Order: sequence, then C-alpha cells, then structure tokens
Amino acid sequence: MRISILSFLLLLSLVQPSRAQDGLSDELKEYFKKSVLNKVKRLEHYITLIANKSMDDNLRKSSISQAVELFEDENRVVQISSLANGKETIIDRPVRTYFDRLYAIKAEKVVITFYKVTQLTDVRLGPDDKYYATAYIFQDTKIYYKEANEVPDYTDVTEKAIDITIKPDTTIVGDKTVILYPAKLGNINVKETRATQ
Amino acid sequence: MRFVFTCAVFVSSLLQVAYAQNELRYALVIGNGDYPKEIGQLLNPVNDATAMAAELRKANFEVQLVINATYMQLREAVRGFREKLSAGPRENTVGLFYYAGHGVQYQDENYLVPLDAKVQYEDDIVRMCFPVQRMVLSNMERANSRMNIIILDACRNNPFPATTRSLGAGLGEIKKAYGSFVAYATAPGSVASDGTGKNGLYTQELLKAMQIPGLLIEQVFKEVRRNVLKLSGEKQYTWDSSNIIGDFYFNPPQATPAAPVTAATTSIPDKKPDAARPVVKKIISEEALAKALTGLTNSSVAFKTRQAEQQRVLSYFVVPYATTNIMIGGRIDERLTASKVLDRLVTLPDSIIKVVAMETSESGKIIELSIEFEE
Repeated sequence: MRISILSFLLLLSLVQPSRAQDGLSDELKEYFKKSVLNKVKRLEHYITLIANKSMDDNLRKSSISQAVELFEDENRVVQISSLANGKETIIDRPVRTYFDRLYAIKAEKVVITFYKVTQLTDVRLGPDDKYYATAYIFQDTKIYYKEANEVPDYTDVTEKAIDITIKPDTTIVGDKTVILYPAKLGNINVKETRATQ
Repeated sequence: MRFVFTCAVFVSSLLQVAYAQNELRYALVIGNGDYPKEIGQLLNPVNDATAMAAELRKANFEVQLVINATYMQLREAVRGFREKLSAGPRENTVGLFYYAGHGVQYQDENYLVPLDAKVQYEDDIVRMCFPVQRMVLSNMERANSRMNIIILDACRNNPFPATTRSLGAGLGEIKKAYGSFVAYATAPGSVASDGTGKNGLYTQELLKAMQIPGLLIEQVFKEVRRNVLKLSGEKQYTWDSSNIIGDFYFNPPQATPAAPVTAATTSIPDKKPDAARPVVKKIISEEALAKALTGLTNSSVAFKTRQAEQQRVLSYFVVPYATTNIMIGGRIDERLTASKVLDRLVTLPDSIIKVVAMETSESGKIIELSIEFEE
C-alpha cells in the first residue's frame, strides 16, 4: 500500500511540470516568444536612443515614457554595473530613475549597442496563473567624456537578465470576450560585467 | 444533417430562455440629478434610472430604484444589494449596478457624487463621494453572484470648484475583477454631455439595445457604441471592459425560430449584420493608412516633422482614444488607444506596418484598427 502511494506521488511529481508546459499550445508558445522578444528589442532600442546625445532631445524624452511603459510598474528595479580597477560595482535603480540618469550621463558621447544574441528561457506557468520567463541580453557600453576622443574613456560588456511576466487579461473584441497575454518587463539584473578593449 | 443542427439550436434557445427565467437577477439602479447649484443639476439621470429600472424588470431583474441619493442612502442601498446577491446560488445569480449622475475620478478611483457631497478641495472627494471600486465592485465580488455588471452613465464633467481642477475629467477605467463586466458612457478620462432630451444619449441607446432578443451582453454594448458614436456626431465613444466567463442575455434568443436556422445565422445573432449596413467611403484606405503609419517610424525624417504627421494621422480616427490593436502572429498583443499607438510609432526604429483590419464609422473615420509589424 505504502509502495503504491509512493509510486503515485512519484508519478504525480513527474507529471506536474509537464502538465504546466503542456497547457500551452505550440502556437501560444510561439506567440509568447515573439511577444517577449518584441518587448526586449524595444527596450534595447530605447536604451540606445535615450543614451544617444546626438538624437533629437524631444525624441529621447518621449522614449523615456515609452520605455517605462514596457515595465509592469515603476517600482521594478534596473541594475547598473561599472568596472573600476577590475572591481565590479552594482547599483539598483527604479525604472524611471534609471532612464532619467541614462539620459543625463555626464559625458559628451554615449554609445550603447546590443549583441544580436538575445536568449529566452521557456515560458513557465506560475502558481499564480501568470506566465514567467527570463531574457538575457548583452549590452556594450562606450562612454566618451570628450567627443573628440577616438578611444572611449569607459567601456564594458554586461550580461543582463530581464524578468518577464505575462498576466492573462481579458478584453472585448467584436462581440466576444477574449483572453490577452500582455508581456511586461520586471526587474533587470546584472549577471556579469566584463571590460572590453 | 441540417435538421439535426436546427433542432440542436432550437433546444439550445429553449434552454437559454429557461435559464434566463430561472436565473436570479438583482439590480440596484441609482439616478442622481437634483444636485444643489454648486454641483450643478442634471436633467436626465432620474429619467434614465427610472426607464432603466423598468427595462430591467422586463428582463426579469428584481430592481431596487434609488433616486437622488445622499451618501448614507447610497451606502445603505449597496449594503442591501450585497445581501441580496449573497443569498442566491452562486452559479445562478447575476448582479447589475446602474448609476446615472455626476462622477469624478481621483487617485485611480472612480467616485459617484451623492447629492449631499460638499467638495471644496480635492481631498474632500474621498470623504464626501462614493467609491465605485472600493464600495460597489468589491461588495459585488464578495457576494455570491456568477456575474457582476456595472454600468456607469456618469462621465459628465468634474462638477466641483476650481480648487479641484486637477482631478481627472470623467471616470477612469476600473480594474475589473473576475466575472465582471463594466460599461461606461464614455472612454476613460473623457466626458459626455448630459443630453437635451428625456434621456441621456447613452442610456437611451442602451435601453433600445437591451430589448433586441438574442444579443449577448458584449453585442448589446457594441450596438450602443455604434449608435452613440453616430448620434453624438462622433464625439462620444462608449467603453466597456469584460472579465466574464459564460454568456449573458438581457433578452434571450427567441424560443420559436421564425425561419430554418442555419450555421451562418447562428454564429452571430446580430439583428443588424454588418453586411446590411450602408457602405461608406473610408476617410483613408487601408493601404494609404499603412503607408502613413510606416512613415511615422521613418528615422530619416526629423522627429518634429513626424510629430506633425502624427497629428494628421490621428485625425483619421473618430476619437483619439479609438481602439487600436497591435497584432503578433494573428493574436492581439496589445489593445491601446489610437493616440498611444501613434505616440509609440514616432519613437520606434524604421518599421513596416500592415493594416490587418479597419472598422469605420458612417463618416468613414476609423472606429477600430488592427495593425501588425512586418518581420
């Protein structure tokens, strides 16, 4: 009897995770992937644009509002890292503060680019009926205190992990109530910062 | 085969009629119009509420009608309403709250304005007015109903003195709860006129749409939006949000089919199919609109120029808050206002935008748009 209960529990533990995955159709998984990558790409675009002092100032300011809207709320935290004497320092900033400071970096030229290798984990269903995933991006930062400088005064490459939350919501489309799956960005954590030449 | 299908639909219609008759339906209907002159009298809410109560009674609702309510009367009415909803069986009880009168939005909450509200400063709102989300919706949620419907014909204007002018105009969107349907006379943050006739425009059209047999609740409010938009000269855009599961009819489908029912006629029981509506000339074609939207993302054009173009494109919509869907892989990824989508487009890198679907009003302006980014 005890063996059968143990076998049942073992079987249950094996079945549970796959059932959560199996709840998603291939079509929905594909949609989640595209939707999340779309948000991440937009974030990368806005970071590049907000930091770029040669762009139209109004466009940079509008981009801050757009970037903030990508997040679940303004209480999410973005970690920023810097290297000095080979030592990594990490600071947490609330979303809007992060973008405001990015806009106002005290340097004549800031160039931020991203490697085209965004990685995305499988989307998993949480116990709260929300879906979760993590996206990894690689950010290349070059800061020139004087624009005339040919070599950047500061450079690094940082790997960042972006928490993604998809909270199903409903809306009325035409005559029917349908489910939407809006993907929102959560905290952004620094995984690793490396110096570059 | 068709005979079997016809029978199935007929039986289904009978079941829906029986279901509606057995369902316990409770409504609390409030009409506040006789405000003191500091707040401003409204002509229609009392008529609106009285007509709504009569119509709901025809739809098998047990109705409590409260006219010109003070804060305490509102509180008492909502408490009694919750008790009613709590008494019925969960799977078989529907609650409906209807309010016509002054409304105001303050700090993410919508407030109904009682007749005795004395508001001089913003923080008086919290003490003197009646919160919809905290007091009405939450009470309905905690009750035992399978579905809660809230109808707010309250987006008139901020009725309070100049010291409260920073308040949001009209009502904001309620964070809807599970099993709730919330309908507003106008889009969040905008205002509607009280009207000059016997009833306000919104309630007048709602009363008509509720009488059409076989319309699901979503279809009723779609019908209302279409008609209000037309009759207001495309100024008033009604709004609704839904989190309901299951169907609800104010007036269930007719039990006796007048003609043989086929699959084509059962999919959408709309009394006025789109095909029967007059064909109108669109203010802009899908192709030209796609080109204009794509142009907004053109990074070789100065941002200021793109912003000017943005205003021109916005004028193609009936209202700046007309619904605009952003699609990904055939699904709606985001559902935003036209204004928000255009604000975003001018900040995006060069993109190619396709128009997936476009619904226009009788003047040819866009009521609802679906777009997709080409990969």
